[in-house]
Amino acid sequence: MLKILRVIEDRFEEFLCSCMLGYIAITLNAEVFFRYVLNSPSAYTDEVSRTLMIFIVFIGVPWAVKNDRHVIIDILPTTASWKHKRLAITIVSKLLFIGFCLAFIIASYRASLFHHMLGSTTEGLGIPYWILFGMLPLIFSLTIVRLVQSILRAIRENRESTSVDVNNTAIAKEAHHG
Amino acid sequence: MGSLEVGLSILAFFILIFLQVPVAVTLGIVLVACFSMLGLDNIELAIDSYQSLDSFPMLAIPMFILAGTLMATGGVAQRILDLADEFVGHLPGGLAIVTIFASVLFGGLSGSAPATVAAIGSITIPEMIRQGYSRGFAAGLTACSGVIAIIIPPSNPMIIYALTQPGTSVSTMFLSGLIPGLLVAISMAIPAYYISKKNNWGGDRQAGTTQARLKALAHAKWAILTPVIILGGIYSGVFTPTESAAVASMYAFIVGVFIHKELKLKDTYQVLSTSAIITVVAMFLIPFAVALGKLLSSQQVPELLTAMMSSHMSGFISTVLLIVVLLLLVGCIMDTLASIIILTPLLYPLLSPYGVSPYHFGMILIVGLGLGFVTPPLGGNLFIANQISQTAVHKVFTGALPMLLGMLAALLAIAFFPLISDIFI
Repeated sequence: MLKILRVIEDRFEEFLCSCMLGYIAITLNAEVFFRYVLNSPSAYTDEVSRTLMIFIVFIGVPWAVKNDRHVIIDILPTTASWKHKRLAITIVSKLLFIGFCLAFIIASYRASLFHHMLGSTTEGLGIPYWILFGMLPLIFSLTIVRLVQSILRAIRENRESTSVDVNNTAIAKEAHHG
Repeated sequence: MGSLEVGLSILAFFILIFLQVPVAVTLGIVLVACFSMLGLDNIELAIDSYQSLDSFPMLAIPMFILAGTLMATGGVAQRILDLADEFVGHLPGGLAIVTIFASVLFGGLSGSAPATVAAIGSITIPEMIRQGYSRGFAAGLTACSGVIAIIIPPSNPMIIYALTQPGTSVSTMFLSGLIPGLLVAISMAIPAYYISKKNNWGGDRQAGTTQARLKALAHAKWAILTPVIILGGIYSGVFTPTESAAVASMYAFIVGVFIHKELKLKDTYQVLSTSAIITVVAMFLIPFAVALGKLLSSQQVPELLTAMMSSHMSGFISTVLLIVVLLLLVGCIMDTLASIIILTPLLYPLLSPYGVSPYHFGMILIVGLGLGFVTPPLGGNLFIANQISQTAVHKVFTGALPMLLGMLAALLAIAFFPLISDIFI
C-alpha cells in the first residue's frame, strides 16, 4: 500500500500530463481520418483537446516544481562561500512562488464562483466553467505542497553536502598531520 | 498606468529574476502587483490566464514538440546527419556545416530551438570534439544552429506570433520563414567554414560519390518526407497547422516503431512524458505574458510608447536599429514566446507607418529574439550545448560569437530588405 502511495506521490502529475498529451495526439489524428476518409467530423475533438491542453499546462506546474524544470536565470556564483547564500535565495524564491500560488488560488476560486453565478458552460460539451476554474485552486494547492517539499529537499541536500565537506576537511587534515 | 508604476514593475521584474524566481512566476507576481496598484479586480488574472490557452491553433505547439521528440528518439536525427554529411562533410569544417544544415532539416520537423540542439548536438558535438574541433566552438556552433529551427517552418514562436498579431495566419507566417531560415543558416556556415579552415578542422576526406549520396538520400527518405507532409498538408488545405502537427507526430511514431524500428513501444510513455514536461515549461509563460500584454494595452502603454518614440526618432533606419537592439537585450532575459506576446503590440505600431508588413515584422521579431537562445544569462541553447559538451558556459558563448555575428548580419538583412520575408506572400 505504501509503495502504491509512493508511486502516486512520485508520478501523479507526470502520468496525468503524459496520458492527456497522448490522448490529444490520437483524437486529432482520428479527427483528420473521420473528416477526410469517413466525411463525418466530430463536434467535440476541438473542445476536448483545448481543455486537455490547458490542464496539461496547469497540472504540469507542480510537476515542473518537483523536477526543478521551471525556467530560471541563474547568475549567482557557485563557489563554496556562496553555498548558504544560494540556499537562502532558493528559499526566498520558493516562498515568493508560494505567495503567487496563494494569490492565484484566490483569483481562480473567485473566477469559479463568478462562473457558477453566471451558469456559463463550454459551447460543445456543456461542461460548467465553474468546475474547470474550480480545478485551478486544487492544482495550485498541490503546487504549494511541491514547493514545500522542494524547500525541505534543498535544506536537506545543503546539510548533507556541508557534512561531506566537513568530513573531507577532517580527513585531509588527518592525512596532512599523519 | 503612470511612469512610476511602469518603473516599479520593471524594477520588481529584475529583482525577482535575480532571486531566481521562475520567469513565468516573475511575470505572474508583477501582474498581481500591477493589478493591486491599479485597483483592478484580480479575478481577470485567472480568467485571462485560462482563456489565453484556450486556443485550437496553439495546440500545434505540444504536437510539434511531441513530433520532435519522437523523431529524435526514432533515429531520424542520425539519418538527417548522415545525409548532410554525404553532401558537405568533405569541406573544411565539414562537420560544422553538417550540423548547421542538419539543423535546417530537423528544424523543418520540430519547430523548437532547444529540442534541435539536444537532438543534433548529442550526435555532432562529441563527434566534432573527437575530430579535433575545440569544445567551445563545437558547442557554440550547435547552440547557434538550433536557432534555425524557430525560423524554418514549422515554428512554435511563429504560431504564437500569428495568434498575437491580428490579420496574420500561421500558414502564411510559416512561408515567410523559408528564405530567412536559409539566410541565417548560410550566415552561420560562412564564419564556421573560415574558422575551421584556419584551424585545420575537417576537410581531410574525399567528397562523397553520387552513389553514396543517393544511398544516404534513400536512407533518410522518411525523414525528408516529414516537412513535405507538414507543409504540403497545410498549403494544399488538407490539414490545419494544428492537425498537420498531430499527423506529423503520428507519422514520426509509425516511422520510428515500424520502419526504422529504433523506437520501442515501451518507450512511448517516456516520449510522452518528455514531450509533456517540455510543453509545460514552454507554455506556462503564455498565460501571464498574455495577461500582461492585455493589461499594457488596456492602460494604453503601446500608444504612449509610440508617441514617445516617434517624438525622439525619425526615419525607418533608426527605428529598425533601435528595435533590433531592444530585441537583443530582451532576448537575453526573457523567454521568446512571452516576449513575442508582450512586444508585438508594443513595437509593431512603430514600424507599420513605414509600410512594414506584419509578416516582415514577425520575422524581425523572431530572428531578433532567437539570438537570445544563445546569449546569457537565459540562453537555453547555451546550457544544453554546455551539458552535452561538458564545457563552461562562457567558453560555449565565446565559441558561438562568430556565428552570432553572422546571425546578426542576417537579422539586419532581414530587417532592411522586406522581400526576404515577403517574397512568398
